[in-house]
Amino acid sequence: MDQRSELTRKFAAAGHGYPRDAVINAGGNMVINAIRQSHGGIAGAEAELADLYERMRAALRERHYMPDGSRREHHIIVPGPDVLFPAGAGAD
Amino acid sequence: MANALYPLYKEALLAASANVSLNVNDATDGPFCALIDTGLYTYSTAHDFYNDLAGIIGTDQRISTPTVTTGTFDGDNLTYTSVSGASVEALVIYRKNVGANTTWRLVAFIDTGVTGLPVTPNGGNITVTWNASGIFTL
Repeated sequence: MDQRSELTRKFAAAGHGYPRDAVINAGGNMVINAIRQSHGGIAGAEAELADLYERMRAALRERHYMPDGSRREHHIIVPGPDVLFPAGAGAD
Repeated sequence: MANALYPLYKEALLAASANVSLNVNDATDGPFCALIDTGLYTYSTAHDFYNDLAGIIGTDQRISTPTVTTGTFDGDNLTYTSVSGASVEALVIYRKNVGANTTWRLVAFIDTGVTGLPVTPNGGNITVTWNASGIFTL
């Protein structure tokens, strides 16, 4: 698991059980703190924040919503038995 | 981890133990499928019943119209509605019955070679489409 996925999983686990607003607020504070530590001036900080916003917006659209604006369904497609359990495999 | 049939299920099959049949088409008694977060559950050959599972995401769905033909188990595709929670990396098929979940036999663990896994729920539906050839063959 890469570092991004690992950290995302930990954040998700830490936020489990908290109200939605609390999770969003905490996530926002973490973003702000991470950005401000790398920029001595507001211009650079705001530019990075704007870039991050655009990437988040694109990810939201592409991963979670359809082009018509409706929520995207996820599809899991399972291969056939001979692929899932090739001969001699799947014994345990 | 590779896909696997739980060995203790196979043992139960060979011994003709209770609650092993998969061709039972009943709302509370038959094959079901759970979405699993493997961050919280690790497959083990020692696992035998549903109470061994952890990291269950969404509401388990029944595999309706199950069939067992010449060693191949098959059933209807699934739709998990309005799923939220942690990411899903595996499917676990189990045999439910009206008793306690300590008697629901774990049948198959599937996490490899599946299109669409892992998936991070977004509050929408998650569908599972089995292959036209069936789900697994003994």
